[in-house]
Amino acid sequence: MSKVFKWVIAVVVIVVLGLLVWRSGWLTSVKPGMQTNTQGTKAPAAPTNGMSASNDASDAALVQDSAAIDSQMQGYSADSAAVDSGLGDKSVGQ
Amino acid sequence: MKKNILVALSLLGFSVALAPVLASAATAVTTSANITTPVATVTMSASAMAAAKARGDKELDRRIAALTDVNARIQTMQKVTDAFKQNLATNIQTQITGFAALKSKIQADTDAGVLKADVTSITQSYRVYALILPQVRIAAAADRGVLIAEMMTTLGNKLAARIQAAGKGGADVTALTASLNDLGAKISDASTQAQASVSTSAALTPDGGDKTKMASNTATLAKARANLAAAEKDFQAARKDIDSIIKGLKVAASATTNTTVSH
Repeated sequence: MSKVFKWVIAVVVIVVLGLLVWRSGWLTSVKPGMQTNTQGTKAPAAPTNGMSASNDASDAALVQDSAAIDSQMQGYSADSAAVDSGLGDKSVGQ
Repeated sequence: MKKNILVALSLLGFSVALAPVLASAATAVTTSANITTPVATVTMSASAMAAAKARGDKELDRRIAALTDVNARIQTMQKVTDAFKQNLATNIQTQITGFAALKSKIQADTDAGVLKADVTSITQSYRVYALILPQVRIAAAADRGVLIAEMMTTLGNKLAARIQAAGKGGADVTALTASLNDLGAKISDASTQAQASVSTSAALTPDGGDKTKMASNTATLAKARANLAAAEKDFQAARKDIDSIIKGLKVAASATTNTTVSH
């Protein structure tokens, strides 16, 4: 009899613990279909200045990076040309 | 082959350190509001004085607009510290405030000699167009140059990985590796040139009417401009390397596929 009672107590404890864990949301926090990081893949680094993620070496990423560099190179040409605009300062007439 | 790729990777791994150089530029762009110009005895008619005041007003407005514009460009600089940007912006703002005060002073001038000295000081004491704007614009261009070098380095590392993978797949990557090595060299030189443009021009100060100093400043700025042009040439050559590597990788991929199919 006492053996059966111990089993009943054990089952009740397990059920109560299970309910507590379920209520806390711990079991439901990782929903099916959202387990994106289970295969050892790193989340891609945030791209800046139009560049693709630093760990993306796909053809599309190479094209994207080239375009981003072209854009900055155009800006560089403009910056560089702007330096010239001041080099011929004339004194103000009296 | 692997060794060549590693050499290329190490070339691409140079450090970008523009900020310490630019830090000195911030202190160089200082206000000249307290420079005093000798006042000569000058006689001027009322209409001539009014015309001189109008000219001075117009020139000051032009400079204030140019400084405001360059201040906006400073805010978009990415490779310098916030403290550096703030320092530069504060110095530019001090110039703008000085010009605003000079505008009021010129309008209130009653002595022809003082008016002439004040109007002359717009160019000689401040040298906004001849010195300050070029200095800041050189720093801005160098800042963008360092950004481009970083972006090209990131892309270069991706290309290096792709070349290595193509080589492992059995493709002949000799030409691709040579282009990658050249890419690394061009990025490195462009970075050196960009930094040199700032280090040669950052410490210049207004000539205050000293013709020898003005000539020296102009020559130094021209040299810095030449550095920027050399960096631009390097970037263009590096960009060609990138294009040729990307095209070469496509050829290598199709060659590998054909070889695999024919087996």
